[in-house]
Amino acid sequence: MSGSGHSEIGSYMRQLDEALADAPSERRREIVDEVKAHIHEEMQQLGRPPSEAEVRQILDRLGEPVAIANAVADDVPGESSAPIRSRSPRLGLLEVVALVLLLIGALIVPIVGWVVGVVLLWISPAWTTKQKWLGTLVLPGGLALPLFLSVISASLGGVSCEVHGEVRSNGKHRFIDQGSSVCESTAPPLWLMTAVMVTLVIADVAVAIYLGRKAGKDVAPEGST
Amino acid sequence: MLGMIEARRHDSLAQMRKGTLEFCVLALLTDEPRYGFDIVKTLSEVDGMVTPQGTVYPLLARLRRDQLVATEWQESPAGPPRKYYRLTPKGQRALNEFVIEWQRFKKAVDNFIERAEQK
Repeated sequence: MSGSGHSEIGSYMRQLDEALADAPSERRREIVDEVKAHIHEEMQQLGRPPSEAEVRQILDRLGEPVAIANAVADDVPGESSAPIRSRSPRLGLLEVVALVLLLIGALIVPIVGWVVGVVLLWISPAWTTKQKWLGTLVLPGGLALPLFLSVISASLGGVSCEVHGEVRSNGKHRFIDQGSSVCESTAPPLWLMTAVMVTLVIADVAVAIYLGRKAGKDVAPEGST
Repeated sequence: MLGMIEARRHDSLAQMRKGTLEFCVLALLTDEPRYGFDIVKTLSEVDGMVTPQGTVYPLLARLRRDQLVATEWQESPAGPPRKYYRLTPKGQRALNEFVIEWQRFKKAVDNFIERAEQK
């Protein structure tokens, strides 16, 4: 096998591997193995080490690595002139940042952080409109909302105390002898607040996980009719 | 503008090839199981099946996932074992259905072309 032929094949296989980066790992391995076997068979048919030109021809006939990767995504063979995906809908960096900001953006930069998350959510091609609405409406403020609510309820809740006892006075100060106080909190009951808090947090995290798993799954891949 | 029209026509031809290629593969497997490389080579020998050879492998993988074909490894005379593809009963049924539809479709298209040619 000529040295330069080797490196062309190596470079081709690397390109194929990269083009398949978005594919499920099993499918990727399957295709890479089959293409490797194909090249091997071609060379066996030749019966002798291929020349550089012959290697190029083999790789040309195989087609562009991107075309093969597109076929894996489509599950149907396409011509090499098929449009190259500009951005495959998947859980990429954009999507991850969107979800993170939706959840905790408001904690980092109040309101704006979450708003940026919403903008990214809607920009991304990875979700259907319904899924985007879900993310916007169920997660307003993200995890900041339960936090905010708990702070509000704590401060709204006053404590009113009744003090019992005898009042003495020495002219300057009033003293309470043998006093006792009964304090009542006017905040909503702790168990209720905790329940609401927990529900919100669970809902937020659940929606975030749902969107994370659904990224790219329900949308049509770009370039397909 | 002309470029767009040509692109669309080119695209619809590509769609037709895409749609029929899997049935050509199934038809190839009617007589006996074949291994991937063999299938790819035979397809490319027939004029008109323009497709990068590499894209046939994802198609074969999909056919297997859809259970239209099944695979098994067999020892090869010189080299590593080969993956053989064979038609499943489900695949045979799919092929039969396609053949019926294809004949109908072919007849219809030929009909219109003939009319055009007669004028």
